[in-house]
Amino acid sequence: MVSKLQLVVFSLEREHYGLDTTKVKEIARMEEVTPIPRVPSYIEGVLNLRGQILPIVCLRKRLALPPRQETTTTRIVIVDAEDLKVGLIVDAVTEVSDITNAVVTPAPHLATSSFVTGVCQHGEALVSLLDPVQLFFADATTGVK
Amino acid sequence: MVSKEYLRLFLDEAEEIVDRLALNLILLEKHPEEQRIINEVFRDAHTIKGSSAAMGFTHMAGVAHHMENVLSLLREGQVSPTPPLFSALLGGLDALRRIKHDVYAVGHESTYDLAEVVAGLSGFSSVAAGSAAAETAATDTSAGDAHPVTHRVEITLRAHAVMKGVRSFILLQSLRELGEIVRCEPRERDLKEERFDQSFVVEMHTTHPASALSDMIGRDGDVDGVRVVTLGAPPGAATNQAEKQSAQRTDTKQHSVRVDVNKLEKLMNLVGELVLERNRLANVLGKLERAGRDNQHVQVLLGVSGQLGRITGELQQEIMKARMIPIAQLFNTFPRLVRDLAHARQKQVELVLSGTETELDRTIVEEIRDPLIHLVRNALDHGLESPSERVRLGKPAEGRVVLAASHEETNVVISVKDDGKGIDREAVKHKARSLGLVTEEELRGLSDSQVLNLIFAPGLSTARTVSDVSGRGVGMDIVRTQLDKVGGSVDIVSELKVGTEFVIRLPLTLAIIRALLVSVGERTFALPIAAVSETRKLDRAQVRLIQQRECLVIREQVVPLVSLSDVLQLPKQNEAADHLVVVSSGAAKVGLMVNRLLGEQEIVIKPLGPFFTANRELAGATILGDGRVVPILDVKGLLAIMNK
Repeated sequence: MVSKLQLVVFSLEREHYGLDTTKVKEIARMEEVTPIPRVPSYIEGVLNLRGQILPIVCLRKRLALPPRQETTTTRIVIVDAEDLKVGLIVDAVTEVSDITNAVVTPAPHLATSSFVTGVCQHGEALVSLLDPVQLFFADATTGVK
Repeated sequence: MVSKEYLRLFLDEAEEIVDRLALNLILLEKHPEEQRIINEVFRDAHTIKGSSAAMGFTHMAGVAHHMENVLSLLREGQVSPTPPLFSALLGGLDALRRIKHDVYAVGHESTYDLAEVVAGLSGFSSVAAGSAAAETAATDTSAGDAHPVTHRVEITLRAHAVMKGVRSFILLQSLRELGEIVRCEPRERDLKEERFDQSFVVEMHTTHPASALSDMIGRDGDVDGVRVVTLGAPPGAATNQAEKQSAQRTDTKQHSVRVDVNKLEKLMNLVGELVLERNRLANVLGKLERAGRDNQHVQVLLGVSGQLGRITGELQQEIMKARMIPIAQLFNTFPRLVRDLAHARQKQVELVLSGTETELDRTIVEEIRDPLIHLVRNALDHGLESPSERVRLGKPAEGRVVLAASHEETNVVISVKDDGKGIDREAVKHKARSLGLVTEEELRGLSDSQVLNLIFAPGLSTARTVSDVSGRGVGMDIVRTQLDKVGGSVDIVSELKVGTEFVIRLPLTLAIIRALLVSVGERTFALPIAAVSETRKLDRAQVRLIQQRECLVIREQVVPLVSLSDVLQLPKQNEAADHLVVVSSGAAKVGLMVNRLLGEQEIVIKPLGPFFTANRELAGATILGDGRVVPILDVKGLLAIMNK
């Protein structure tokens, strides 16, 4: 499938992930997240974004990657998933890029979850395209909604 | 095709009319001699007929037409106000409501089997037709005798009238019923398509007097003024230039607009945010001042912040008021319910409503609908005796149910009271024992009010027969649950053979509550003050063990102790949780052990959203002055997860 894509690309554990810009509301600096008791571990808690309370998901934990200390590049990507705003903690946002003639291939079977809808070549790098709805609402272990 | 906006306006109006009809029909059944009521009912049926026809809702218009016919006969005294007649009218009303609901849901009518409803209604018109035939013939002759006269009717709609096109169409229809329209300025098509300002002029031939025309038009709520000028006989007849002028109707109606609930909700949220930002500002300024940086600018800012605080406070109050609706909107659905139920149970009931102007947050009004319905049904089913039984007991045959609302400090109190047989404590005790809810020994220790409160236990119902609406024992516990949900409470006063009263206390509003902030380790939580019965420092020497659980005896009541940290499964910490917050939900009491009490304050409740729906222990979250988010605990949910 060849199409034109505009992606917010961020890195995590030396891999690149992308979200469609239409799904990204804003990119915020890391702020104090209030933990909420008795929730799956990948839900980091809630954040006060200008008076609005948003749930915050840690992408590392969601993708079952090893945890890492927060750094100056850590960002919260505010994603719009089915009318619900959710913050996604990522290691760093690398760029917002237009990819013309993007070739999106289906995610390889070895991809651990259904959070990734496809993979796309961008320069030297491979970018995994994330599906926010799957990411936030699908069951943590099976990836099935 | 009608626009969405028109449809919404039509539905708003239809809703208003249907509600008013429901209330007035019940009133009319009780006081058939009241001309004022029958006129209003007739007018409403007429209006809804006209507006639904204009919108193309033929089923609705048809039903309204048949209702109007029956009402017209009733008004002229050609049919008697019997219960079957009112049942037929109420049947028609139910049909209107059903169709309106469909239109609301899908934007158009679907197909209906209205044969029964229509037959029920037209049965009355045909009965009357026979007896009325002679009379009608007589009136026709008299009408024939009168010569038609030409009138000029000048109609001005209110400045803010909506759906002017439809409105003018309805008015023209009304006039057509009285005579023949010969001229219309602007033309009728322009009127229909709203190509006019506020006024239009109609010339018509009619045998009715000018006052009849102005009365008919003036009754419409959207008409600001009407002037009828008699021009005289139509061409060819003798002319009469005497200009009759009817009293101009100057309206002093309350000015109001309808506001979408969601818009109000949004406004409320924005004001909530404004309050939070104001708190933040005050917080930062306080820090600046303490840090000794109180130069001139900081002083000015402090003044601004204070002023801002006052204004936001007022704004919040006003918007809060806008969210309030009179409880009449809920109470007014009860006369119909009581009427139908009284008929079904063959009981005689007088329903008294009082304090209907009492205002309450609209969310709360929605939430208490079902519990109130349940209590009123219970009063009829289990409270009131049958008429013969009442007479035997020396009571009036007609039972009395009072639904009253009033303000009490920051609460609204609603009482549901009947003069029936009262609650039989022995029967309650017996049932509770047989269900294994309490032991014989526990029963002996219970106070009278504790015994009465047993009726809120799941599964307990003292009714001997199971009826279709109540008496299945699933009701009272749900009543309590639902009232708990909106932060309300319920008390029972009951005297055998004299009657029972349920007293419900509700908060005025849900959006802002007083809360106690507590800390567990580094985390802060808010507890609604309404659920906190007391706080104290924990004296370890007083703690007793009952079945391996730590308890404390507080005023002869055994209160189990739990660590909030354990309940919420927070990481272990070393600091001693030696502050106790005793919380209660319904009859259950628990002592929560926390590290620190941080004080009381007003907080704005914000929803946590779908991510946290499984967290029953959380009622939402709030944002403190320093921007921190603090989860608000729901005591009922907390107790529920504790017992798992």
